[in-house]
Amino acid sequence: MKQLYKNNINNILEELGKELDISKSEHEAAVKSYEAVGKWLSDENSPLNYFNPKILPQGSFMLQTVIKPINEEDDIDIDLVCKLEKKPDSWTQKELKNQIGNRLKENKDYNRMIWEHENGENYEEGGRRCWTLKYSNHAGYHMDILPSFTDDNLSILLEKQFSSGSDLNTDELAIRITDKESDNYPTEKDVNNWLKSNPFGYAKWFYNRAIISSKRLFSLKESIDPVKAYEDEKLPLQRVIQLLKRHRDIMFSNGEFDMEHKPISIIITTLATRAYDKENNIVDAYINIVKNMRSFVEEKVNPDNGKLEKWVSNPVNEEENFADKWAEIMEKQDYFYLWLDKLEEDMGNMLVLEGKGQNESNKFFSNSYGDKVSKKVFSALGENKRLLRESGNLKMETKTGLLGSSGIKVKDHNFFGKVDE
Amino acid sequence: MSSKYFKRRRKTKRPFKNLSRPIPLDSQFERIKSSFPNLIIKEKKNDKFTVIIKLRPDLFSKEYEVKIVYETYKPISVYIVNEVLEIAENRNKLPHVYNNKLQKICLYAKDGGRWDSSKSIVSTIIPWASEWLFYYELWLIDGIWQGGGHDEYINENFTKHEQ
Repeated sequence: MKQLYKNNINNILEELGKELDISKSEHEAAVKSYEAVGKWLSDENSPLNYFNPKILPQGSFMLQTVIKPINEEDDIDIDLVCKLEKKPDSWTQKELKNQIGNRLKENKDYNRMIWEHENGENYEEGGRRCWTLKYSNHAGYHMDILPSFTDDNLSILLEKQFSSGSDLNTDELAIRITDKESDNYPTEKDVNNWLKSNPFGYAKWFYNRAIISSKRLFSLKESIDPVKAYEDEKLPLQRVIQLLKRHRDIMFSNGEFDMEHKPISIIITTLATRAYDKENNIVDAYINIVKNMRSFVEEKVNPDNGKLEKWVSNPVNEEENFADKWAEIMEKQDYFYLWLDKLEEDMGNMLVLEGKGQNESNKFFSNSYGDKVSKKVFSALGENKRLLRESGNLKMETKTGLLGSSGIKVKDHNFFGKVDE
Repeated sequence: MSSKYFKRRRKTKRPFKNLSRPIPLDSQFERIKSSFPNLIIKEKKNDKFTVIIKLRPDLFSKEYEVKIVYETYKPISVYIVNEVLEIAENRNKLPHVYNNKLQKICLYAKDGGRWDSSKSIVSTIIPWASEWLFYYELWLIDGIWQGGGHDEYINENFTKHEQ
């Protein structure tokens, strides 16, 4: 493939990624909202004040791989950790969950938002692990707040881990969470027997792989800052993950599939991150990731039944299989491989669009990433070219007529034509 | 010596645009030929030539054959000749053309920056034709002309406001 064509594709993928991303104002509104939640929980009049509660982003919001939903009416999920310190010996999982729930419900807005999520279905006890606040339709997001106890020094540990290089001792970043469906939920007081989760360790692993020295856009440290600024420029890996997630959303929205079983984001993110080899541009990263993702799905014998199972291990907890549901629900595994097949096929087609017409290219990108975003990107290309000509900077290559930055300068003019034919 | 003197004279006369000298037909022809060596010469006389060149405005774009007919003292004509151009789904004719059936495209307004024979075809008409093709392919996507110039769909915006 010619470098020039590759640059063209890179440009389109970059612009598509920007269109899929949430906007700066959406980002800022979400940050403002969860900061307010944090403030409410830690307020001096709050019974939780003593436990030094903090709200921290996790998941795609922390990894900066959030994408807009296909349907504008659908909500963006914002995953947050609510961390408490200094656990009282008497508290069970249920106690922690309810303490946080009760404090939220003391605020009439949050009370309503808990009620409005799923029509009050989880009002009493919350979801399996989280409390969910449903913000207004206008805001367009809801927040999943994960109650947890952490090491009293977590903030310091985070600071330390996220300000230095590749030291990957992420165990100390693990947090303990509640699980409504576990047997010991109402009784277990020893936090060491609670479910362990390590979203910050995962984020550290992710950023270690995502950051490329030649394009160090922001410090790792900023990624754990709960109020970190919106990043306009994303790392190639972040953009590729956004594109892959949207490709999945489009494929599974055509009515042919049960959406319930589409590949989950954490599997896509983990495999893409493993396959990524520090390419410094989106198109090379995309090609490498799509080609190699498949090979990072492992197979392991399940000791319980002796059967061979697919594994996508959690990089910060080898015991955890992100694909554990595949063994129970065949569709999940089938869908994942159908998606990979389609992804590989589409990538092949993307690399041979040259010379087929911009309208055909638009059709291709529409089918893969959505009609609206693709049109927007191609329309912006037209606009840019016109501005370039009007400012006297557009040139045309001889022999081919290619319009760009080299060749004969294109003089300004106005298209005309008969209005009536 | 004489050429030096001549240049200076021209400079002082430059502000009078109408006095720009026409480029001789042969010279126009040679300039096209040197920039597009693969051109097809359909006709070449002292006062007229017809050539076909290939243009591809963008790497994603198709390659099109563009016929240029130039005759002294007549307006220049440009046609897309290698295929019947598609029409955008929400339109019924091509944008910015003199003749839809002949695919004779229109590249400059008759007022203001009107084209005349003092301008080199290679640095005006040909890049403009390439631009036309570029915007034509984008127009196929949604029927919107993004290249500027006169508004083809002025009534459309008007109706939208009424609704």
